[in-house]
Amino acid sequence: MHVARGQLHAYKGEMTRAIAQYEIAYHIASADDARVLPSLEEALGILNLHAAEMENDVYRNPGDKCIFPISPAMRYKETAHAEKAVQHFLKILAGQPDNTEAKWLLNIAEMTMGAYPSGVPPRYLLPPSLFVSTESIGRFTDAAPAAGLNLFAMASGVVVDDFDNDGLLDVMTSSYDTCGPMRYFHNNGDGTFADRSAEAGLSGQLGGLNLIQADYNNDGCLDVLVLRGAWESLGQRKSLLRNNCDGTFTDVTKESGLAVPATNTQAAVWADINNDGLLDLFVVNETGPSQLFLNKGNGTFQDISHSAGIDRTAFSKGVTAADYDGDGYVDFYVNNMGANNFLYHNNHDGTFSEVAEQAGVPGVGRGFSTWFFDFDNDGWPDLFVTSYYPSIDESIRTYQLLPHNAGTLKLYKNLGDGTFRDVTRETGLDKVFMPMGGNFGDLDNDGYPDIYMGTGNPSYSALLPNVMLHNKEGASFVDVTASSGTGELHKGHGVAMADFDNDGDLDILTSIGGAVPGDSHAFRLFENPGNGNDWIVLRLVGVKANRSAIGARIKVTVKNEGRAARAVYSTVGGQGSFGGSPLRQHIGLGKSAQIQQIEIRWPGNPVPQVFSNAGKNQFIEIKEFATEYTKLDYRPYRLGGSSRRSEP
Amino acid sequence: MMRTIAVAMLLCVAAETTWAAQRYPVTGLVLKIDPTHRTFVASCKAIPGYMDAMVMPIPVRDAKALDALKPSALVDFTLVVTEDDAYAENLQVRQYQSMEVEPLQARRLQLLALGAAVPDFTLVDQTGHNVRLAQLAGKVLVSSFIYTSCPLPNYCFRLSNNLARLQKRFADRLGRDLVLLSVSIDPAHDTPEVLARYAATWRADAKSWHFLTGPEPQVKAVCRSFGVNFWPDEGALTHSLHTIIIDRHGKLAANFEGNEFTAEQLGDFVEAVLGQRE
Repeated sequence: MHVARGQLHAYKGEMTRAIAQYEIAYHIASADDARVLPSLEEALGILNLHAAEMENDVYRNPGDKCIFPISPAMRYKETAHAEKAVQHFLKILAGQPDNTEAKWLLNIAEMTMGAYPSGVPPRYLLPPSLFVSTESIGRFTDAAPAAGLNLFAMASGVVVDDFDNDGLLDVMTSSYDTCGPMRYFHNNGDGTFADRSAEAGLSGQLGGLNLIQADYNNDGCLDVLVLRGAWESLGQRKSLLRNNCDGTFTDVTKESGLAVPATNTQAAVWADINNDGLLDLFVVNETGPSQLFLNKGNGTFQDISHSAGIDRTAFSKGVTAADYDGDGYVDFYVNNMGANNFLYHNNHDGTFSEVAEQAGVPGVGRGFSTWFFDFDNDGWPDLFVTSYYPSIDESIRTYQLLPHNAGTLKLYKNLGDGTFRDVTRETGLDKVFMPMGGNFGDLDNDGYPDIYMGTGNPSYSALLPNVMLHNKEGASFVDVTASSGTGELHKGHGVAMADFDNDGDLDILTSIGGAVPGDSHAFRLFENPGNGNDWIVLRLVGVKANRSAIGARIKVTVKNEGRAARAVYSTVGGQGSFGGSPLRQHIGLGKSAQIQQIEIRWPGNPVPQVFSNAGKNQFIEIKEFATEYTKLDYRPYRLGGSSRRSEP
Repeated sequence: MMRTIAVAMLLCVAAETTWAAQRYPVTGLVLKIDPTHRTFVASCKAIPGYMDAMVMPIPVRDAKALDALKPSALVDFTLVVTEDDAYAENLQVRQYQSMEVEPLQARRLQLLALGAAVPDFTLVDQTGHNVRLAQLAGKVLVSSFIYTSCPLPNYCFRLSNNLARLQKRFADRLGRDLVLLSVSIDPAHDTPEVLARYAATWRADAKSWHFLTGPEPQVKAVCRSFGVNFWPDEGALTHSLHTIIIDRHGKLAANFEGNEFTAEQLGDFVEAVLGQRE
């Protein structure tokens, strides 16, 4: 009874009351049933640690207080609860000296008091050397508060894109909280954002763990699909929100034919499956068959899931699209939990064949977000597949360099013949991180896409740093979490990479927050400190192809000083399945770059569009069939406005 | 003892209630498949307001629908009852999926196939005596894999409770025809003494329900052949859930994964295996 009451208080974030109930339960169990003491001890340790965070305002005003490893300079002012947490973790460890979770939380609790590593008994110490980055792409800083992105929420989906065609990247979010409204932040163009959720007509749109953007009706304005029902037992309605091109959105789910059946979903992807210039929609669900909706071009969709042979049922948590075999038709990959993954090859006739096994991309049976990206710039889209194994022990084994019991991340290299090779180990990705949301982008503009993942699970104990992995020229990925200052300890969900301040480098917007009100947290906007490398941003506009240009493949041939020419590849719409980066493509070019050629391959068009005179470090727009590109006059500005200090 | 009902009886019920075709979602555990008569026999969960849980033969319109079935599969289907007919449609074999922490790749172990001879093993029971599989030849064996300090009531506790229900249902055949086994996946902690205390919870008769432990490598070897994977994690053991049935000839008759079937369905399957005399 007391545990149940304690859980309810903890759910709401009433930590003191929760602790009081658990302490009563602990007292009763001490006399009656010693078997449950270890679990109560663990709960009390975790609740006290959470209470310590809350009373030090870590959730609403995090600053660097929850950036791992926590610097001694960030130690909490109020330490009573943290001290209690330490005592509980020490008691657990006295009985279970190998309990890695208790060790980890003990080390974290000591960090919050500035007592790490010296305050941790040597036998329980996880030494600082385990967490040091061996290299750096610069330290990012959180610009969300200064920019007015005052988002405080439970787990959320994010999309960053230009919804009003003013050239500035706006922010839209939806929340796992079924009573939490969507938020829409208009970019003011001066480093600040204005909350226009109500004006846009989005305040009545509640819930939805994820959302995806595309111009499905080819009217030149980006529309949004909100995905709901994830992790719930009952299906929920999706919402297709049509952009009225005037700053407002209208819910057209019912008339578009997407309203029924209600499903449990958090992953879907827009793609033109038949190259007719209309974006179709593939939704994967947790408990029912996947759904493929053919865009009829009149604002409605036709459910062709069954006839397309794509209506398999699995607990699907991620989906991504790319023409992996270069046959001119887009294919789908589905990341499943509890089942092998699906690779749906497009048969060019409205049907698909499931070929994951033959292609060598089965996944690990515990999938979450996923994406196609060309990590080694060989022109073939490779597959990144997360494995979501919610165990602190397994995640810490990553840092301890111990072998894993659980399945690791997977990287499948596209061999260009319809099959893939598992290169996880050789690229250093044979790690367990508990990733949920995630995305990729070239954070240091070296021409190779890097990775950022939000991590965690619903438990208050799941305090694990988000992870940044630097792509070392397509050969390996190196953990730069600590040096980048982006190791937020709380739960990371939707992740978008976007150049918010038009300064030529990708920043990271990520939802931080858990599955209960007591675990709500401020979003993070990690501003990129910049680098000396060159870049170019391409905004593509389809004419015969879909107007969003989703599926268009970009090849930039670049020559860096003293090196042979090389190609950098990017695909419009290519992004992580849990987090919406802009459709405009940011392409890193490396140092002292000279662009030799830009080639666009539009979906449904075998003839590439080629430009040979583009300058670097600029924003350009390329319209399908046009012989000239247009330079876009996007001016850089300081996030937070000119009044912001140089360092927060 | 078997709670069987003919489709004809089912039709009588249907005829009384309505003449229009009725559709009911049903979950059944497949006991037998009869392609010649386009029928499968399943132990079905109750349909509230329509029928109790029962074993029944169920026709399908297209024999191909039976291809995906195998004995011991848990299948969801729609039972269509018309004025003069009843049949199953939309058969979907359920793949067990747990959202709880569960060892990955358990299903990718080299599993014994159904019908394969189960390799002999020897472990120690709660009385400290050796129990050798070969010595139990001629009896039907039901085994689950548990550990006594498992904190989750719907995991080990439920599997043990299933066996306790079998103990009650088959009281007159236990020890003679049927033997229950609970293999501990935590042999370091689950000594015979600990297992004896745990067995007392279920009032298990040590002659017919053996709680087994042994050296970890031996326990692991036994577990792995049935797809049971486990390791220590976050102060507990993480493990997959399996309940297996071995027939009188020492061959694997079923390997149920998960905890979604009922004790009654398991009992119906056991009864079917017990009925295989030859």
